[in-house]
Amino acid sequence: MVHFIRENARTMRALVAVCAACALSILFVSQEIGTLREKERLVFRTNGLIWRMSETIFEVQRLSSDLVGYSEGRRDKEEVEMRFDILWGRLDLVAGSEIGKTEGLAPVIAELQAFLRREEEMIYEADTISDEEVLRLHSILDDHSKTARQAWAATFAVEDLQRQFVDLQSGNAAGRAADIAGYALIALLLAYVVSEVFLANRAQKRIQKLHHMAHSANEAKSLFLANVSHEIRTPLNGILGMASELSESDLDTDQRECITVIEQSGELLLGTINDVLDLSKVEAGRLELERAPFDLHRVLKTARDLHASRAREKGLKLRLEISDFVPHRVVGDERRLQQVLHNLVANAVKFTDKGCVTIDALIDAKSGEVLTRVSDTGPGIAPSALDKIFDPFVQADASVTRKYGGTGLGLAISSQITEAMGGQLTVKSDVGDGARFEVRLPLQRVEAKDLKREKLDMPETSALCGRRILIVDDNATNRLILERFLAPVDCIIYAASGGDEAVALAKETDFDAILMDIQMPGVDGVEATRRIREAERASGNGPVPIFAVTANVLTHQVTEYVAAGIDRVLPKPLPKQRLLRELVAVAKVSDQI
Amino acid sequence: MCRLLAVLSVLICSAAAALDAPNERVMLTVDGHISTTNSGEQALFDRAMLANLDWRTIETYTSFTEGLNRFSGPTIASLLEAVGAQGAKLRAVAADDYAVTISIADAKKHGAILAMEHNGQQMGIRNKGPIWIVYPQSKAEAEAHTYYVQMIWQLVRIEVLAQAG
Repeated sequence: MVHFIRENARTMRALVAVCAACALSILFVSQEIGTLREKERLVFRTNGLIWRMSETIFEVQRLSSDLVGYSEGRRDKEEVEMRFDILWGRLDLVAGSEIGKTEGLAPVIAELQAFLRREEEMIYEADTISDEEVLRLHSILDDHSKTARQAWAATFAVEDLQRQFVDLQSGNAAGRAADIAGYALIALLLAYVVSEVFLANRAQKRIQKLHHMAHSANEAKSLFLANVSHEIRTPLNGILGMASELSESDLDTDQRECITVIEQSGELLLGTINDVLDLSKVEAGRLELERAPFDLHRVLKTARDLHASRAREKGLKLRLEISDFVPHRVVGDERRLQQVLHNLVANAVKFTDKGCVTIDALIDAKSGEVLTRVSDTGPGIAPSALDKIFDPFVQADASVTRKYGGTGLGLAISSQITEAMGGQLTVKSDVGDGARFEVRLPLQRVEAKDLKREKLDMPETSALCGRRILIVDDNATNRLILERFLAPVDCIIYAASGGDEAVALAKETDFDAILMDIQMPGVDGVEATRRIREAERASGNGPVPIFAVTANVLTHQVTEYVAAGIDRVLPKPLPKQRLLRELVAVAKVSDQI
Repeated sequence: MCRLLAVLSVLICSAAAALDAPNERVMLTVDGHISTTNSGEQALFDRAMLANLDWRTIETYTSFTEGLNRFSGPTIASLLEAVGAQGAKLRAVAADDYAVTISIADAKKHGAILAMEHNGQQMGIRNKGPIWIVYPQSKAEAEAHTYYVQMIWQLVRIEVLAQAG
């Protein structure tokens, strides 16, 4: 019961308010009716009083005139007696009524009654009334008539009537009780309105608070993810780097297989971490897209090439069909598009056991958008699961996870990335009928000259010969990896295990490049860079190129690094090729100077 | 049946046509649409003649008195029968020339009387006499002034008005 009341408190309050409003209207109407009746009664009574009083005065005059008529022989004595009796009766009536008891009229009435009693004997007992008597009675009656009229006027003035009306409205106790009830009901209604406003305000504040809490929880989640991904990337960097180094050494077949497994597992783990990080970025609205020219055909070919071996292993055909209308050079975020395509192709290859996977690209004739479709001949997706597969951590079926693995993040990320790029990722499928994912993207085409060609092969490292390079990292494994990456190159490698040490070394030695880890105990990479730049300004030496080598690559972090004086940010895990390419580029620039 | 009633009423009227002349002082004059007269166009009644009509005693409340009051007098119906009244309404006139119009059907239905005694006493002009038309009524009706207007006192004359009037 209590629970029910609490659940429906708002409705109950409204009901009470409605009841109060109804009661108030009923009270108001009944009071109005009551007042109207009282008014009628008052008017009736007043009319009666006026009538009686005027009749009395009239009878006084009539008696007076009949007396005169009698002395002139026009009236007989019986008629005079009748008038006398009528006046007597009238006076009795008036004396008994309210008006006869008023201050002004009571003495007048009493006097008239006394007069009648005095003269009664004379009128009735005598056989005749003498003319002198008539004259005397006539003048007395005239006087009485005048006095009565004056008293009448004074008593029954308009103000008196108004006073009676006012008395009527404020007088009765029932009316007062009704007034109190009315005020109470109005107060109840007001209390209802005020409480509603108050409660609504409180609810709004609570919602705001919840909203704020949810927001900060989301922030905390993003931060947590960023931190965790960093914590995982750093050791993973070690695992992948060392595995890569090991695979280049002399190994027997067993060992090579082990290394392959380590590398593949590491890559998989890295992919998952990247996915989680991407999703948290997208959800926090922090996904930032590059706008640069790139070769769309090359991206499509890469997507095919990367999965070709896996498809071959499974005995699948992997076809790529690019329509002639699809431009080579477009503007957009190459890396993100690649991510989406890799995800779709990887899924297609993963879920298809026989048949073929087809990637085809064409131009939508109507909108001019680029359509890239990845079709497979796999098991297909049940209609009930279709609208859920783009939700994070959802796969078409729980059994999918057991059979094929994966986090269920890939499609969610792909879909959100596509949307962020102004496009749309849709799917058509049915059970047993394969699936076709369609990426629809508005990509702007560019002229050929805007496109820079990048080499993917191992860079020519001769430019690095004899260069002094400082590696700063608190983690020995990480230092070792970078040292091993640089070992084939004939450069001179210095190592520092902390920010302080790096600053000190940078003062002593004129480096060609510094590879700076950011997250270090004590003086971190950002602070160390700041100090090195200060020292350079003080000594007038040219600025040394500083590379941040870090897993902390969220946009605001990168901004902070650049502000401190870092030239380039290289995300961990750092592939050997990328590192060498970056260093070569810097070396070539410094050569030109 | 209707015809029989009409014949009967004519018979009664002609039977009552012999209305005696009053011996004492005239208390009530009836005129207008009447078939039985005793003085030209009028029917005059003294106390004895009125006492010979359908005399009733009623106990009732009125708007003008306190508590239950006993009134005695002939019914209006018997008076109208005596004069062979043919009309729908009465115009009742008081000694002071106050006058009201009364529905005959209403007066008959409620058994209104021409009260001549109030609580066993003859009424003088001073006490709303000698004749006061009294309608029997409940306390509530009295308080609501139901017959306030019809209850004319100091009645001296009744004029029977025609159907249309």
